Amino acid sequence: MIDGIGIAASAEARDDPRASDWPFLQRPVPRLRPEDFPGRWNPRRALPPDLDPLPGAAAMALEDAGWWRRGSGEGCPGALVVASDRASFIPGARFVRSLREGVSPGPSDFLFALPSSAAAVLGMLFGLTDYQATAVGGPRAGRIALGHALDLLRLGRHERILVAALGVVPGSGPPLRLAAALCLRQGAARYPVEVELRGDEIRLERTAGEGGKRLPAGARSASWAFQDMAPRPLACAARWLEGAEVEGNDRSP
Amino acid sequence: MRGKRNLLGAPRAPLAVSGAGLVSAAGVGIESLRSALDRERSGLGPLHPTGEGPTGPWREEPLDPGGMGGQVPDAALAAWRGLRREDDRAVPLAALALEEAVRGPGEPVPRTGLAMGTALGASGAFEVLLGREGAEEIDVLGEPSIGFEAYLARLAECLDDALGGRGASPEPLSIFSMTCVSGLCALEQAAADIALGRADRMLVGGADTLTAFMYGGFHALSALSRSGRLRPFDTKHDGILIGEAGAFIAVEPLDRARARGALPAGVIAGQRLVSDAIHMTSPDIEGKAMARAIRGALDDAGLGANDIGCITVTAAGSAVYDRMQSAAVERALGPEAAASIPVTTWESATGHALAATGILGIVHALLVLRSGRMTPLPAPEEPDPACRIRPVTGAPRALGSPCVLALTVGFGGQNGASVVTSPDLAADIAGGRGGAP
Repeated sequence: MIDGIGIAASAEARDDPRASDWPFLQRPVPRLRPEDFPGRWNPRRALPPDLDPLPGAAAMALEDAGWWRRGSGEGCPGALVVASDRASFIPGARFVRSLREGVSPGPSDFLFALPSSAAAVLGMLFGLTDYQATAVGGPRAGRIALGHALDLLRLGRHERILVAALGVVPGSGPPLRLAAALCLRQGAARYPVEVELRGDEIRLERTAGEGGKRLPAGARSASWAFQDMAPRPLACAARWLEGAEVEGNDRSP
Repeated sequence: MRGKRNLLGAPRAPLAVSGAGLVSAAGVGIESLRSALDRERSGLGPLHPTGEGPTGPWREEPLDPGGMGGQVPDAALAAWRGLRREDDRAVPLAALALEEAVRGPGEPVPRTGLAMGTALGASGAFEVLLGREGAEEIDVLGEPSIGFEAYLARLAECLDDALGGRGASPEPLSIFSMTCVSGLCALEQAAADIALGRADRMLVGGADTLTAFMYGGFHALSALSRSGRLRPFDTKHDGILIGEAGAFIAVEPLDRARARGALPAGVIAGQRLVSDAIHMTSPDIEGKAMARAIRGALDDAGLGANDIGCITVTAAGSAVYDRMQSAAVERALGPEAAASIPVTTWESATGHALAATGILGIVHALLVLRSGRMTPLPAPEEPDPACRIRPVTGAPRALGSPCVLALTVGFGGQNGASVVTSPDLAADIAGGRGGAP
């Protein structure tokens, strides 16, 4: 069911003590540039900073799954479900303030005040066209998004779905921004686990069949930093699977 | 035909619509839309200052002097019996529609959940917060009134009250934000909740208010009409008119609805959402993704082009969206069908209703099925030659077949197609009649 995982933290989050309990978060995420998306993103425009580090987590998951190749310009067949807790609020406040102050805001100022723009950008970058949805609802958005994706797979509505979540919480300085992503598919996948949601808890169970990865012995909870954030359920899955070892070349799409 | 896998995946089980509710610039209640369309009366007009208190945020001046749009009268929202002082305007807007959708004949349904779509939720809270002395932008992260969680929780409370006040939050609950197709994403989740046995009935809705945030956004996109005239499929168009609305439907399996004595107004027999993923605002003018959505929705329903009695479109006065929908219909159904199936809309009465649009399109389709006729669009002064579909103009037309294809577009390249049929046609299909290929 899980083909790829991705986790990314903003530069500020990597220095935040709350993220220090998960070494994975300290790793710098390979920087994405417009050239990584030929024909899909205007090369003269930087990737939107208000979405950072969501595209990085999505790229990591898609590359891990072998669904996408950096620089190819090819789209991935599949659907996209995004969770956003508060990421659009700061651009929203900025937009409303500029209206109050009589400053004429530009189109992008409004677009990034909408939670759905995260999905619109990921859809464009990676060519995920089959379906796009954005779950909102604060920290619960990640659970809604993952549940939505699992339901769509279970009912056969879609075969491959990228679920990606962006979380923002206040920090001592700039807000702490974290993102997590999972590539989910119907049937056998590279990580031999079944994902299930029971209430607000995510459960991962090994599947009996052959899988492409050897899984680590025990599950660990996600970093404390992810508490009260939309990416939490995805991060829990990723933290359990991060120690999985590759058995052979299993990166074919 | 049913059960066949289509281009996009497995079909969805049909959903009977056992209740519907609407609050829009046309008025309160679904009959207000019917009446406005029958009388060719528009709820669009000059923007007025919103009132003080819960129907605000209060402002002394209109959002845009000289601006036009579709506002719900404050008095209609203030009259809602459940209104609290702290409520954002978005609460009564959605709650009035929700309550109407819950009403109706038939035995009560204990397991009733809520799935909601909204672009900005209770967006007036931003204006209230930033109006406070010394408020910083960062404060929005810690303000409970801002955010979709509080909005969903308040609407769940409203639903509980409408169901008789059991004091327990309805389950399951979900909320989506995907521009104008938000309500259709919620419907996708609601269908799954029913199919997977979590609920017997789901209330599904979409709502957005016309706050300074929303209006200012469309103004920043340079998308708004200055003439105040909605001119779909017309080279004389000068932009769109937006309106606030709350639209809700109650959905459940047809056999269960009939068994409990409900009177379904129609059946959502198929639905697909497909994205262009090419631009942050503009659609793919060739309509390829919308054509996929149309074919997928018809496959879901087990129906074909010959079964469609009418197409309803999102016709807010944007030439690119008019042309995209026209191209998509041609691409999906063929030029002959595109030139012969009548096309209508509801947006001349309400304006483009933001996240309420998808569910409002379904409510409108139910009205078309019930009345058996389509109301005319404003006649174009100069018909756009790039649009080769056939809008109803002049006088109402009779509906030839009890099947409506409802198209919903949202910026960011979002395309939704829903197939809404009469309950009898849905029962025929389920009984194995199948549709024309």
